[in-house]
Amino acid sequence: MFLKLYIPTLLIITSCPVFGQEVKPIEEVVISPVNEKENSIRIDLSKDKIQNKLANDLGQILSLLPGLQVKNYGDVGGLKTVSFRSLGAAHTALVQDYSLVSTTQSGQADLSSFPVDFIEKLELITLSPTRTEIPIHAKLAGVVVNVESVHSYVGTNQRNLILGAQAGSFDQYEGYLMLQKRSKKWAGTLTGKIRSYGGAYPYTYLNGNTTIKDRRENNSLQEYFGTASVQFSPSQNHRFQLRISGNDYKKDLAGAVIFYNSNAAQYLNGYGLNGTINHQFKKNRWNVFSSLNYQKNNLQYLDSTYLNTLGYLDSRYYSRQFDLQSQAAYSITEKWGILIGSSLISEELKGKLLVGNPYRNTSESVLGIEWKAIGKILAQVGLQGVFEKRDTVLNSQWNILPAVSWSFDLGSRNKIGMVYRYTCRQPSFNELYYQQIGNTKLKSEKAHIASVRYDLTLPFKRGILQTMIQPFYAYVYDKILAIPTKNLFIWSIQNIGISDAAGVEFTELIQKKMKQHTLGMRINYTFQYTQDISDPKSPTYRHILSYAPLHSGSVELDYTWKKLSFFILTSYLGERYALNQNIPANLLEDYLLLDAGASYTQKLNQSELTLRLTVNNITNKQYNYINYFVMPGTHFNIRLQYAL
Amino acid sequence: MRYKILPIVFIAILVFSCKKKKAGEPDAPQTLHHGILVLNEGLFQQNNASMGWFSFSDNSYTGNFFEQKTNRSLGDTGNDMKKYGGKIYVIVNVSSTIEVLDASTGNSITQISMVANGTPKQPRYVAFYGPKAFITCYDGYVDVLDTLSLNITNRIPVGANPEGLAISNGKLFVANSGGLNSPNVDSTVSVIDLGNLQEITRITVGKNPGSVQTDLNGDVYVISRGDYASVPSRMHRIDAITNTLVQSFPFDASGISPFNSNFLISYHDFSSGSNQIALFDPNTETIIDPQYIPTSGIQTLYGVQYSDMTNRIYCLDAKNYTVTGQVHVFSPNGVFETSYNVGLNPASILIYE
Repeated sequence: MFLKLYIPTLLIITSCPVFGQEVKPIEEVVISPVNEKENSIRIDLSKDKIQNKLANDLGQILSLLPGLQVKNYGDVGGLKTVSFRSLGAAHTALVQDYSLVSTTQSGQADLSSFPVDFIEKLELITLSPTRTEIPIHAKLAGVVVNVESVHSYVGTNQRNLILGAQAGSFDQYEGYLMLQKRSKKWAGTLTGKIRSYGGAYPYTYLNGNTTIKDRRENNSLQEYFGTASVQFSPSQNHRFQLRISGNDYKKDLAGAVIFYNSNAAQYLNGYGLNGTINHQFKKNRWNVFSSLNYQKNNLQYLDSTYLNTLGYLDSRYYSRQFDLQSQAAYSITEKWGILIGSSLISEELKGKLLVGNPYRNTSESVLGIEWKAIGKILAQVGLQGVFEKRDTVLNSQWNILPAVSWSFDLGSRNKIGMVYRYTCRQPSFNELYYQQIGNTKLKSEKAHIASVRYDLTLPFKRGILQTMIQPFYAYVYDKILAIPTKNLFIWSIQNIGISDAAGVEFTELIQKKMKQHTLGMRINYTFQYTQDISDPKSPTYRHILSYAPLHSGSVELDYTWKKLSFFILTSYLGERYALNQNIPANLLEDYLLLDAGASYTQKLNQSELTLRLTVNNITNKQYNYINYFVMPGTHFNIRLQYAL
Repeated sequence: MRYKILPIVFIAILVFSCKKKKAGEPDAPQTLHHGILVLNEGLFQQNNASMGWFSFSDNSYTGNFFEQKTNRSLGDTGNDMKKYGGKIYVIVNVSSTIEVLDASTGNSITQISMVANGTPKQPRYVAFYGPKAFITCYDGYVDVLDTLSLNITNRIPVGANPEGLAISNGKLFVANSGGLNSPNVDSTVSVIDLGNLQEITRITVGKNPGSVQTDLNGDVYVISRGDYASVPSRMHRIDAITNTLVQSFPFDASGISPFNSNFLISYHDFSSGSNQIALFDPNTETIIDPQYIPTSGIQTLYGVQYSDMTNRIYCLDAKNYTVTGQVHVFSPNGVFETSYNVGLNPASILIYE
């Protein structure tokens, strides 16, 4: 009740009249794989582009990047996981403000739990051997999604206060606040967000030849986020940061639409706490970054229609992660740089439905090299030791994880880079220990990933055209898959699969400025052919893996004139199969979505007022990414933000 | 400026990316004869349970038989299908419905929603006695359906998560699996008096009871599926007169299928993936042949049915549970004859002359 009153009130009190001011130009999107100032292979997305989308979460934004497939199980609050070049979500490391996000239980981060309101920087990093602030565990993963917010203190934010409110279709209400104070040596930031969502959106689906109209039920959400951080710089060489954050949520789980049975009554409640302290030392040729992070997550899954003797299922899980690490980078010469680092991660999970109380200790060391000779060579080798008790026996495992890239310029406009890495991901605690499903005999899932990247930059009169083409190949073996091993309802996790993926990622950016007008276009396209090559005798041998579309992409047009800016975004997801067997019965339709938005920014002395409006799914396309997880049709969002 | 053509090329790829047309299915027959009606279980939360028609005349398979007959889908997890009194009863577990079809045409007569107080009952199996159908429901009841009015007339409370059921000596024997209380599963069989529809007693057999079958002498055979680990899957015999457990057999078993006066005892070992179909004589209570049917061509034995109409044994093969299944046909002597491709996880078949 409090939330329902508070959020509209917040919206009303911030809706004061606005007055004319100059327009803020569109921030350039930079694609910089071999930029001399950079020591990583990455793609990034600008802050304004993120904010203008009024995205519900990080998952919605990441779906705009090439090579990433975001599996979307619902709208606001619906589970979203990201897969890079068909590697599977567990190969992607999510880093938020220099800390690795814990995935102790499921092995994958739920991107729906990451709001984007205070993001300053978003990068997709495939290799970063000499960057000290990227955690070592993330460096050794298949790909890194690196998110830096206002709490990182390195972005462009110069505001002391940001206050905003948002209202949207289907009873979506949000309010957020940022307070930041900076002095010569000290800086402090407080951010918070609350959101609620009714989620009762209408949808239609095809049942045989019959079109059924219905409304989503059991789909509401209440969520709270808060972070406080302090930065202290006693001298130019030292910087200390302390950050504490927490979130609390109550979600209804609508689940898949089941024909003739709309009685879903599952819920997910939980909270998380995250505390980090880090120190950075920079002097002359040294850059040393050390951090200590502690995370705790409590989760409750409730099914009030579960047909056991109790009449309900109440599963609770308690996970903790402790992460200590230090990395030191040294520039030997202008052409040579080196990094060494070590980390210790300790994870544990408790829950009634788990066999035992699993824990895992991981010790990782990395040696990174940067050599600017014939072009630039980046290389790293990681040594990973995993220690855990399985079936009362202490199990240890050592992995050597190499990665290398070579990039060089072909003239001033053309750049070429090549990357190879070997990576592995450990089975999650659910995969190992979840009652009858878990399998303590599991090995790690391994992958070889290689790509070649070509970049072209063509400046023209008052504009720029940038092109990135990146063919890739990924080979994954000992894939961790769930298959029925007891009966159809009791599946178990096995290392049985082999798959490979070949494809190409393409990004095109065009930007042109004409007096007060700025025009921009960004195109992302990914083609990937991901096939099952596990067993030549299997009927699915060389079939395309489930939920691996051949084609996906987006086209975005931006236009800015004085105080106004507009965007139109079309995103496409190609046909895909719901199961690995490529037969018509398993084929899911492709879809093309059309979104649009506008924003108006008014400066008032030192302050700034911004009004943003988006219309999503303008054509009211009835679609789903995952079979029968229906998505909303046309819906609106309006946001008013005051910044001082 | 030639590079400016690149965006156009890629937009074109996006917009005109090739589409595969869904292949058409053969027409479903107006009346059912000379073929097999197959219930395919599908997969949980995929709404892809299906009924298919395999025609002996032209060896064609119509995978969307139910859709063609009703213009809608069967639903989620088709669990059981039986023919009785000119009607076909299809039990759809997760959708929580019973589809009643005309047995001669396959046309829909009605769909019965199995929901009690807002909670899906999750029906599992059906058996018949006189004008009544008895349906085990996972919410701990056996529902009584009047086969004339097609209304649920009674709910009989039994044990947790009942599965298979069979009728003998005027009594209904119901396997209480308790599967959703795992690892504390049930071990009992409820005995219900079909006169007053009351539970008389419960007989302890073994952990996780599933399939129930009767022999020509009226004895009731039950399979307890164990815990799929240290407690093995076993068959037990109940005296239907005294309502007592009289014998537990020492061999592995996961299904019982009547075969003339004998049983075909099927077993799929989930650990090794091996299959076994034995011939069992319920008169002597002994295995006649432990390898009566060769199973080398069967990947995952999911059911066995014998038809006295065709005098053939049909073995249902779920493969790896996520691909098209098969029906393998054997002579009454256990000699392989042919295989038919059907749908996802074939669970039950009906043979038509």
